[in-house]
Order: sequence, then C-alpha cells, then structure tokens
Amino acid sequence: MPRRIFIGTLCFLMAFTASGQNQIFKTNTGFISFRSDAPLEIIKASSNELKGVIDQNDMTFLFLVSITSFEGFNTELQKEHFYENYLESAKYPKATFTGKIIEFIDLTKPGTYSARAKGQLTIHGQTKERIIKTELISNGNSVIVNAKFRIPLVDHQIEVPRIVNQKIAQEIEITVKATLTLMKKS
Amino acid sequence: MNWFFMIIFISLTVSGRAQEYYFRQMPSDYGRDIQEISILFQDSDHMMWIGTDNGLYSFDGRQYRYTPLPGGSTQTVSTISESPKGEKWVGYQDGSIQIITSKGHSESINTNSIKGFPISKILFQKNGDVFIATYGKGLWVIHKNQFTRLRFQNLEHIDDIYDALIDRQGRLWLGTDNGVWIYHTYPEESIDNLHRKNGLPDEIVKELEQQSNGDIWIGIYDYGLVRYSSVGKSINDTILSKAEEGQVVSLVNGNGDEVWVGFEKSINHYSYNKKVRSIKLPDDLNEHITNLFFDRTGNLWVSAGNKLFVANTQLDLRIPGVKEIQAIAVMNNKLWLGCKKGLFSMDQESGSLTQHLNEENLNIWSIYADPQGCLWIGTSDQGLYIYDPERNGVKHLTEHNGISNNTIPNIAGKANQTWLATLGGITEITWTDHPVKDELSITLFQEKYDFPAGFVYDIYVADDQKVWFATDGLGLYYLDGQELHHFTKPMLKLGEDSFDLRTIYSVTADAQNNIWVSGTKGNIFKLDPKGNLLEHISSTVGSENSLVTSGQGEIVIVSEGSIQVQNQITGISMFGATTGLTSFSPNINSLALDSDGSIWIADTEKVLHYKSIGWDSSHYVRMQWVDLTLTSKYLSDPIKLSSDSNFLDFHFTGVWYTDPGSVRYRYMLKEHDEDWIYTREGRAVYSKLSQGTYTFVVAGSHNDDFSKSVPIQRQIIVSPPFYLTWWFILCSLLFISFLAYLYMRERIRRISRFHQLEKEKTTFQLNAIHAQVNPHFLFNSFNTLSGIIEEDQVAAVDYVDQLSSFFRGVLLHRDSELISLSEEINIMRNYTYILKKRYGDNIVINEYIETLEGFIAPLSLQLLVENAIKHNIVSDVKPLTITITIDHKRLMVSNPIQPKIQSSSESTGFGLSSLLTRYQYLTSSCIEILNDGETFTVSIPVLQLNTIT
Repeated sequence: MPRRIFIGTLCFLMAFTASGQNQIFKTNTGFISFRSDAPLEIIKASSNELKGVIDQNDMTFLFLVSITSFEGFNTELQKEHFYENYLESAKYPKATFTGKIIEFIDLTKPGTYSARAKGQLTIHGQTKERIIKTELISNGNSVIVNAKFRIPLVDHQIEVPRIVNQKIAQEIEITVKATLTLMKKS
Repeated sequence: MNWFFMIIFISLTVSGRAQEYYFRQMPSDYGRDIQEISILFQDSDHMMWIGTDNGLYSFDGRQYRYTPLPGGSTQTVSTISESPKGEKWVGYQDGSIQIITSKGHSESINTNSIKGFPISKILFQKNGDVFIATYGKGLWVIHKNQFTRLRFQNLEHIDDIYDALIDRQGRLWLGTDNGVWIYHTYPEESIDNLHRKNGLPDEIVKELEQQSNGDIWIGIYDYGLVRYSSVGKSINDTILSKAEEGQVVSLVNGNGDEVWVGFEKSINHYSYNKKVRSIKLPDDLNEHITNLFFDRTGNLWVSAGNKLFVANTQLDLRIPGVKEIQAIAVMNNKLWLGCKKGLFSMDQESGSLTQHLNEENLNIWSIYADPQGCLWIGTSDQGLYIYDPERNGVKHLTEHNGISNNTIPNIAGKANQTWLATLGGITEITWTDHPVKDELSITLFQEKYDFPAGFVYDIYVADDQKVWFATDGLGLYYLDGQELHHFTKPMLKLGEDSFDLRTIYSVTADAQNNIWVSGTKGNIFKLDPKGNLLEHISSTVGSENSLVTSGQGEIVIVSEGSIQVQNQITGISMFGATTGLTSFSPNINSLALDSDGSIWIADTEKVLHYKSIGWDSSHYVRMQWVDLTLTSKYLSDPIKLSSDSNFLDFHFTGVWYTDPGSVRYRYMLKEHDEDWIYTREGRAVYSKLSQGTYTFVVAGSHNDDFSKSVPIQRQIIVSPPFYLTWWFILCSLLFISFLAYLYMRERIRRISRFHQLEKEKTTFQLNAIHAQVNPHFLFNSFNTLSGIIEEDQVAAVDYVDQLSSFFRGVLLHRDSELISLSEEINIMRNYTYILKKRYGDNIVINEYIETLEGFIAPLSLQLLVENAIKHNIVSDVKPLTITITIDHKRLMVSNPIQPKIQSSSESTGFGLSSLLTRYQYLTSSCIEILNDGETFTVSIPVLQLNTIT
C-alpha cells in the first residue's frame, strides 16, 4: 500500500527534521541475516547495514536494507544468482519494512517488551502486509530489536527455476538484531 | 504469559481421519483476467456472488456474469453484504461502495472520506443504520444519509478493522489488532474489549463468525480460533492451527452447529460435539486457500487463487482400507464392515481399522446390530454368527441348528427378536436377555405361517412395529403381531400402466406408513398401507435399487452410480457424477442407519455417508432473471411494448449448485402459448405479439417435478397498433367526415355549375337559332339569291345548297358542347360562301389552317366571322379582310377595325360575352380579345381531347 510507505518515509524524514519532544531511536548498522534450508543446499547471508528508525511518539517505524550489502554466501556464483536472478537487485535495490508497532510501549523506560510490528514488507518490488513479532530490550537510551520470521517466496514473486528447487527453500527465515539509539532533538 | 498456559490447558488439536468430500472444480472462464477470488457471498435468492481482483461476478454454477462498477473501473472486491431490502452492498479495496438493487441496477455511494482504504465489512443495523468497517480508517456509519466516522471512546484509535459482525443483541463486534471491540448503543453507548486477559490467545483478530446458537467464533492470526459462548460469556473452545496449516483465512457456519474453518492450507470441520475433522483437499487445490463459503443447499465452496471448488457436504466418503465390503452396520461409534474376507470395524474418529472373528474366509452378506450391542452376521453359505464385540463372545448357527438356509442376504430385528432373510425362507430368532449368552428360540416361517419357502432379499421393521419381508417371486409379506399377511397383488395398476410386483429387492416405509419397494428393472413403487399404488418412479440409473428411510424421514434410493433422496417437500434430489459417484456400484441393501439419522452406504472399498441438510422448500432450484436490465424495456413492471417493436427476449437462470447441469426449465407466455415449453437453455424469445396482456411464467427444476418449483413471472402489455387506438379511430372518423363534407360541398357546387352551364347553353342555342334565322340574314340571303337566279341558275342552285347546308350544320350541332374543327370550318365555309355571294370581292377570308384536329364550341367560328361583318364596314371602298388562323392551341379571327358609323340595330347583344361564358365552363384557357386600335383579334382555345375537363 503506497500510503503506508509514504507515511513511513515521512516519519523517516521527520526523524531528521522535526523539532520538539520527538524521541527517535535510530541505527545505521543493524544486523540482518537470512537462511534458506533446502534439502540440497543451505544458503545463508547477512548484512550489517540495516538502517532503522522507531518514532517513540506514534510507534511508527521504518527499516531498510540494501540487497547488495549481503555477504557471506557459500560461493561467488551463489551470490551472483542471489543478486541477479532471484532478487534482481539492479531493479529492486532495497528491501523495506515500514509501519506501526501495535502496542504502545515507552521505550525510554528500561525493560524487555514483546511487540507486534505491523507494516508493509517490500522485497523484490512486491509489497505484502506482515505482522512480525519482535522482542524489544530497552535500557532507556537504546533499544535492541530482536526478530525472527519466515517469508514465503511466493509472497514476493521470487521465482526459483525448477532445476534449483531443491536448492532453495520455499520459505526463507529472516533474523534481525539491531541496536537503535535514542536521538534527542532540541 | 497467561495465554501461553491457556494454549497448553485448553486446546483441541485437529485430529481424526481425513474425511473426504468430492470437490468439483467450477468453470474458470470468467471472460476476464482474474488472479484471485477475494470474497464469496450468496444472496437471499441463492445466487452466488464472486468478488475478485478484477471486479464482481454473479455465478449460477454454469456461467459467470460480470457486474460492472458504475464508473467502469475494476477494483478488488473486499466485501459483499445484503441489506434488509435485498440490495447487494459491495465494498472495494479502494474504499468505494457499490449498491446493486434487487432489480439489478447499480449505483455508487459517495465514500470520498475513506478513499484508498479497503472496506472490510458492511453491516446493517435494525434501525436502518449502516456500519462500514474499513481497514485503515476505522468504523463509519451511515445514519440518515449522513456518512460519518464513529469516534466514541476507543473507536477513535481503531484504524484497522479486519472483520465485523452484529450479534443477536444488536451489538457490533470488531476484529482488530487489539482484540475484539464490542460496541453497543443500547441501553447506553458503550464499548467493551475482549483481549488476552479474557482468554484470547492473541489479540490480532482477523475473523468473526456467529453461530446459529449465538456463540461467536473468533479467528486469530497465527493461532487458530476460539469460541466465545454467548451463554457463559467466556472464551471456550480453542482450536489451534498447526504451523503447516497457515493462518485462519475463513470461518463459516455449516449445518446446525457445525463450523467450517479454512486455514491457508487446510479445511477443518468442527461440530458441536467438539470433534474436529480435517478435510482432505483435492490435488488441484495446490494454492493457498483464500475463502470458504457454505451455501444454503449444503455445498461448501472453497476458493484458492482464481480457482473455485464446490463440495456437497451431505455426502462424504471414507476409505477404510479394506476390500470387497458387502455389508455395513454402525454401532458404538464404529462402522462394522462385512467383507468377502471377514469382519472389520473402523473407528469413526480415528479411522483405525480392526479385524474381528479371526476368520479370513468369512464371506459376509449382511450385518445387523441389535439393541443389546451384539452383531448378527449373515454369510454366504456359512450360516449366521452372533458376535458380542465387548465380551468377545461368538455364536455360530447353521442349518444344523435349525435356521432355514446358510446363505443370509439380510437380517433385521427389534428388541429381543431377529429375523433372518435367507435363500430358504425366513427364520425368526428370539431370546430373553443376551443373544450370545442366552438360549435362542428359533422358528421357521414355513412351519409357523406356512410361508412358501424361497429367496428373501430384505426385511424392514417399520415404526408401527410391522415387519416387512421382500421376496423373490412372491411379492411382499408383513408380520403384524403374531399374524403374517401377504401384502401385494402380483400385478399393480397405476392409470394405464400395470407392473409386475412379484420380485422385490428392498422395502422401507415412510412417516405416513406408506410402503416403498424396489422391484425389477429399476422400478420403485410407493404403496399406501392398503396396498394401492400411489407413485411409480422409474429409475434410469440402476436396475436393482436399495431403499432406506433416513432419520429425517427421507427415502434414500441407492442405485448404481447414484444416490437419490426423496423427501416430502422437494421431491427427489440426485447425487451422481457431480458428487463424485462415478464408479459406484454398491451391493444391494448394504446400508446402515446411524443413530443421528444419517445413512452409511458400503461400496466395495468405499463407505459413503449421507447426512441430510433437513430439506425444506428453499432447497430447490431458485429462479431468477438475468441481464434484463441491459435493455430498458424490461425495467418497467409490467413490461410495456408497442405493437411495432414487440420483441421479447427473456434470459433466466435456475440456481442449483448441487448439480447445475441438471436444471431444466419450463415456461409459458400465458394467453399466447397453449402449453408449457420445456428447455435447458435459460432463454425464451417472442416476437410479433398482437395487442393484449400476457404473463410470462418460468419455473426451474432439477428433478423434473415442476410442481415443487416457485416460478417467476413478468407481465407484458402490448399496446394496440396506432390504427387501433381510440384516438386514431376518432381522428380518422373526423377526417373522413371532413372529406365527405368537402366532397358533398364540391358536388353541390358542380351540380349547380352544371345547371348554370346547361342554362347558358340553352340560352346560347336559343340565341344562335334566333340569330341564324333572323329576318335580316334571311332577307339578305334571299335578296342575293334572287339576284343570282336571274343571272345564273346553276349558281343559284349551288347557293341554295350552301344555305341549306349551313342551316343543317347549325341545327345539327346546336345541342353539342363541342364540335370538331373540320366540321366547324365546313359550317364557316358554307357561311362565307353565302356572304361572298352577297358581298362579292368586298369580303376576303384568309385561312391559315395548320391542323384540323381539336375541338371548339359549336358555331363559335361562324359567330366570330359574323361579328366581324356586323361591326365593320364592308364596301367597295373599304373591303373587309378576315383572317382565320388555326394551330394546335388556338383559333384566331382577326380583322382590321373599320367601324360602322352607326351600330347595327339588329345586334342581339349576345355575341362575344356569350362565347366567353361558355368557354369558362369548357376550359381553363381563356378567350383573348386584342384590340390595338387597327386590328381586332379574338383568339379562342382549341381543345384537344385529353385536355377537355
């Protein structure tokens, strides 16, 4: 839904421009990894360039990662296939997840919270609404976001040739671990 | 977290053997590109509506009909509801709402304030308010045509609504990310919340469905579903989904208290006894399930992607895993299967199969479960076994023990009495407490009642305690107390037809104590308690039918390839190929009646289970009009047609989703057709109807019993042609009267003119004679004559001849209206001859005659010449030259003007004016008189025959 992306982007921009009591948690070096457990081959890769922002005020968030920032493939050929054939990184360079955390949690108060992040997940240019359960651990100044979820390839129209069907699972497991720090605005 | 423990403590996991339904794939020729069916809905006329990512369709089981949005755009349909007025309200993904009226018009309502936000539900409150739940913009209400957002308390903050319903108390339930919100306005506006603390396993509520008893099922994202009891006001049963089943996508009510639960990858059936069964899905259903729907005639609809499947849930299939099943009984929640190789039991819940009696070579033909919990097993040539599965006791009886025959096709009984139908007559067995433990009392009918020994196929214990016996060759017998009666006559008559009823394969009785029997060649007869034939059903499918009465009082007819169900209200309904009964050939009477009234039917490797939906009159083909709104003439009711364009093209359809291909129609245009016209095509065309009022009636049927069908009709008024309308007739009469008046007036005028003309003519003739014989002319003539006589007698004779010839001409033509030019010239020449004799060379007549064809008024030329002489000087000094010119058109007489000093006193005063009058009546051309001072010319028209009026 373009509207949600728009709102998400708007919040993202507001994070840097808005003044007042806006309390924003932000990172540029979050960790994200994926893993495909196929019968013949396990593919896994990760990136440390996950950018993320959570707006404490209205609980909106935006996470973004560049597809080409993933590293750690088994082979160079695997990486090439991943970029060019499956995710078409030239055409769709980014994956985004933007929306709103359903629960209202005061992240400036230290504690461990479980939350549901509901938003639009865009991978391979295809947007799908998802609700992702996350664990939020706050120490008052920073929040650690932990999440693990599975994405069916069909949801994002990622087509795998039949010949490599055995090498790629129909569902990919994603793990996110990011530490967002509080940016106090004046 | 408490929800976590709850999952552990109260959870009913999906269990049980797969129950199979025959899923029939519906046609996929939508006519447009459809990727996904987004919603299924059935309206009160039973029509199914299919909402897709490319617009809305109605579907009668055979054909999809696209219903365009008024604006022409195609959007994903997100919800469909029906208002109390019968309007279909269709909500779209983009926030638009379309209303389709019961007559088929469609219109949009203004929902600009929620533009771009999907409509998740449209609900109708009893007071006329319409609630519109959106995904992203919260809850809206249309109250007295005002479209506003409800902002009461927490409603303000609820943006995403997944599902909504109005419960029996009129409360509005909303499924949201924060549990269920229950909003009500009575007795005062308030809002409640159901969330984890109330026992919800999670708070993302995606589906809500109200059961017939008022309980509400709540479908939860990632977890499954729970039931909220309306009585206990608490969360009760929790059904958890397994990870491989995916999310809850749909929750629908089935028959009674059952609920169908659609997960992305499975369908489960939940009944009130807390049994959850997983439904085996067809192989073609390889995509994620997106929708479930349970229609009003017991069909379960499943959509996945753009595929649509329908299963009739009245008939399900179990495959126990044994071969050659020949007999079936149901006892202790188990199916007992008598096979060619032994006895097996199948647990209805788990599906687990157990072999009994340890006898592999037992060829079982019949099983009867008695009230004491013992099974009576009839075999082929191996006698009778009485088996107590609880105590594992067995008793074996053969002909040696006194039973009539070792081959036993059927067994039936009541209380502590059992009857064996054998190939050697009937054996009655009684006992005191327990048939295995107790001593049995065996009686042979041939001994007790003198019953003629023979094959007996079926025994039926009726509700009125009569026991019926179907024999081969000897018809039907019944036992009433201690008396055996022979029931049927060998031949039965129904109208002209007569039937042989000696051989009967199966017998049953209905609630009215009428007896139903199946005879040879597939014939089925219904007889009243006195044995009179009431009804004959000729089965086209099998030749040997088995009959059984279900717990709902229906007669179930089992034949090869079909199961037919006859009920009092809608007649016969057939389950055949469309319910998967393609290779179906069960043994005769291998049926069992379950305690819930359902019927089990064994067929070699399969067991079919028929469960009635409780037939009522709505379970019949429903008729509706199709596409009538496309032409404006059908909009009015009655339909009004003009006489010159009275072409009628009715499109209609009959909805019967159990077997859409079986629907036939009969229609009639009353006052036009003399009899019903039968067709399978949903169309009737009429043209060139004469004026009058007609009624078009059409009914549909799936079993050719049109008396059960509720017909639809339209009245048509054909206006008379314009020449038969009262105003036209009136105008025509007026016009004709006017014409008649004009004619009469003209005629009167003509007559008066004619009279005038006659008068003129008479006057003219009188005057002409008067003129010609005037004494002066005679005097002059005779004077001339006397002069000639003296000089030349021959010339005198000639002169007299000319004179007499002139007078003869005058006399001859004075009555005529016209004279030919040649005759007139002759008269004129006679006349000028006479003149020449008198005036000699003093008068010169020049004639320039181009033609002699044509007519003029008689004596007019003579008159003109006479006139010229009368008014001019004729003398030696001044001779008079008269010039006569005749062409096709005109005759002209001219002379130089030499006026006499004194006008002749003999002038009659008539002359030119008389001529003028006469010509006025003869022709439209006028007489022209030219006087240029030197020459006097009179020109008269020459009439040709074709110009004479």
